[in-house]
Amino acid sequence: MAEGVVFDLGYRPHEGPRLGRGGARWALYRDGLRRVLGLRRRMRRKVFPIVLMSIAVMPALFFVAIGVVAGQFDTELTFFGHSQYFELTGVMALIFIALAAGELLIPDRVSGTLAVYASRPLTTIDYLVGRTLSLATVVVGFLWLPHLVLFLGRAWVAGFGSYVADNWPTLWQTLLASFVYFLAFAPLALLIASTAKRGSLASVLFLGVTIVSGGAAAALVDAGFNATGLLALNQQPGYVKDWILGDSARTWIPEQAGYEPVVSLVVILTLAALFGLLLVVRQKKAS
Amino acid sequence: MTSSPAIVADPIIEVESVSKWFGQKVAVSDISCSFGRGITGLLGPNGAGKTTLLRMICGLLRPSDGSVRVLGADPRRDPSVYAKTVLVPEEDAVYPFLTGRDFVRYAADLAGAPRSAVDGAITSVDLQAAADRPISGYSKGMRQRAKVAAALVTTPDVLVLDEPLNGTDPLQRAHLIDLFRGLGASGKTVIVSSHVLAEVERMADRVLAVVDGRLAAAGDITAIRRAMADIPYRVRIETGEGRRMAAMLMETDVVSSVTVTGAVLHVETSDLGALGVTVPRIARDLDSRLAGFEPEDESLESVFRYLVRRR
Amino acid sequence: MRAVLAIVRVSLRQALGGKRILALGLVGLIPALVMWLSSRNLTARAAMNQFHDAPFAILFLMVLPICSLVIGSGAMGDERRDGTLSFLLLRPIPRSSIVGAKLVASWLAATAIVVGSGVVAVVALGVRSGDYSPLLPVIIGVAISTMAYTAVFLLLGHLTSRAVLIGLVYVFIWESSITFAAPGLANVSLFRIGITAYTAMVPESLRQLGDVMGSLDPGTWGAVAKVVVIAALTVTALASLLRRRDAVSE
Repeated sequence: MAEGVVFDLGYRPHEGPRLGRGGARWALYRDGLRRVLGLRRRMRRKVFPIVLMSIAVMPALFFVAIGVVAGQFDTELTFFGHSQYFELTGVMALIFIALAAGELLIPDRVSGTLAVYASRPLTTIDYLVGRTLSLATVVVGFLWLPHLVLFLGRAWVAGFGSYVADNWPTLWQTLLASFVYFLAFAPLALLIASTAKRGSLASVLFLGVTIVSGGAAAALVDAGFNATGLLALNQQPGYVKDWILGDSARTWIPEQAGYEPVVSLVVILTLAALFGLLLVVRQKKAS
Repeated sequence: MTSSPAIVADPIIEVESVSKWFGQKVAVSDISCSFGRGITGLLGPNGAGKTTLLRMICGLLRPSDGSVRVLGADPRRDPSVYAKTVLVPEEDAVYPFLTGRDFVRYAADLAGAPRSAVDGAITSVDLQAAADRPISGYSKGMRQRAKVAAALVTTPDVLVLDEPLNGTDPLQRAHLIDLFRGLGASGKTVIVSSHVLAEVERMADRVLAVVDGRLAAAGDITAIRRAMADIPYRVRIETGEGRRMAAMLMETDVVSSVTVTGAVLHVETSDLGALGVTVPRIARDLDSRLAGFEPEDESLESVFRYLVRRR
Repeated sequence: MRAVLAIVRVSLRQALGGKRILALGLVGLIPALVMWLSSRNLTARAAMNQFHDAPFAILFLMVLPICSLVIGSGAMGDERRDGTLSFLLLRPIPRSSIVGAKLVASWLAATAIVVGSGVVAVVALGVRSGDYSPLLPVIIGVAISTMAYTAVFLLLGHLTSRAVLIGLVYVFIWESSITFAAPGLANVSLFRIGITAYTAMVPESLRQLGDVMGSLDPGTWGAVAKVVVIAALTVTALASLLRRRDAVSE
């Protein structure tokens, strides 16, 4: 009878708790955060998120510092008002989402890691939700953080209790506006990333479609095609943001076309749902 | 000049005191060697620095120190060297949108080789059946063969092959080994890197072993084997009478050291054959059952590490 | 010459293959679509003004940089990332010939798409107004600016994996915002090189395009000279880099 021997190679099975689907989702979310922020990667991977966040927060810190030194905030100085601040950070959010969406989805598909996820207690929806939430956390966080800094700075100078009591709606309004920006841009960026092999190509295509849609819609609205005003993808979140914050300083293309902001919000939500659905279909096919 | 086995009498490729470092990491450290006609195997464990050395030989990497000459010229300064020198890289350096035939034809066009050589190159690697399919659908082994065909189409004098048998099945492997041996026998200079001792043994008459970026051994395979015989073997012996067997072994002149861990003995010997006779005899004298007798350092990496430490 | 032509041929397939050509082609249709829809019921003169207003701007400020960025930065960058750069470099060809062939291929690929986009837009104008006169100037202007962009992005794509990010910041923040706010900076803008050539050939366009031109004057030969210098500098610099730097990473 043939003899056999099994050598002890030192492998020990995991003896800790099994975290199940929740643990897998959480791991996916954390991994997404690391990818988007370049954590545990080479320094050059961290540079871009750090620079963007610094540019986003610096003006708020600067303004707060001046306010603290002067002992008051110039309320007439509208450049650093909450609504105007989104003009600065909105462009950065657009570029950030364009690059981060590819970073989140493309390597998994191109390197064949999706099969590894498939061997875990995770569905395609879990995968996409984990990835999307990690992107949402960073994007909404970096859009909202300057407003929180501004709010706290103003509260510090003006007297915390009374300022917070009078102005607390600003906090949820800016948070909501940040979500609107995310919803307006991220689903399309993720959808394009789910079809591309190269992150750079996905980024350029997403930005191209978004920016060209604004230029084309402006020309067509001028020519009387008002319905095309709703296709100005880069204009919708700004218009809704002004509505949420009660600002009317700027005329947006959908507004020029005669649409109420609530219509823009419906367009954002509808497109987000449509792109999200296509993303799920595409991702299921890929995995 | 030919006092070291690493140096050949009529060198086609000369590597002189070459080092390469990437930031803090030293990939290749002060290697001097040369390559003549015939096949030379470049042997070493993964991460030993073989690929870096081959890339420097081909001019893809600039040596941090030292110099490389191929056919009498520095390949980084004189691209004409590439008319007679080709590299088959380890990675998938292929264009997935081209067919195998287009890929080989592209190589011929770039080297100024006749297009009539394309079919011959494809046939030489036995890729005819798949030649008109896009490379994107090729298996790893087929891609390897396409790369070899693209190298052969230019009828080079110097072939640098980095792990050329990776991903190939046993039949393809045998075919490629025969092909490389034929090239070596016809007077071409062929360098084949591998981390598998058996592959190199079947192809190369002369071997250079690289470990941790340094040249660990050089010469013909028989001589290196002989050199390895000088290395004390580490053997693990399992018996019910560990301590008593250790004591009796130490009384003989067969072992140089014995370590006892319960019923297990770790023995160092320079004469494995004598140990194989002595241990069963002692076990019989002790009336003890011999539960295990196995060499512990037969892996390529451990043997080469030993060679490096000995230098 | 055979080697150079082979590189051009394969690089063209590389640049225009797959879904890339489809996506860029769809973006390229937008100027024509805008032209067609926005010129309903306009007189010939008003249609020409409309052409220089929106479709022309979309063509030169958006379609042209996007196509050139994608194709230019990928020409050497993709070879480097895919590991095929060694296949090209280990050939008996001067480095400058390799770079020159890559530049010509990416220029031809980007020009084919953008010229196609411009021609369709001019045809839309012509059908509406009967005036096809901007056809040749658009082709020349596009070809000039595409060469400038592909040359710069070719070099950038070899130097860094973040070429697209840098290119996007350059195109959409520097060129589309800062150089408009400070007309003196118009010299540091690649799409304007083509527009100076176009305005020299279509002087009546200056009425609409004067603001875009900033401090620049119309001139075809000046524009050609600029892109020749940019292309020559790129080929020289990149060939030198290929000789000096490691062609593969660790």
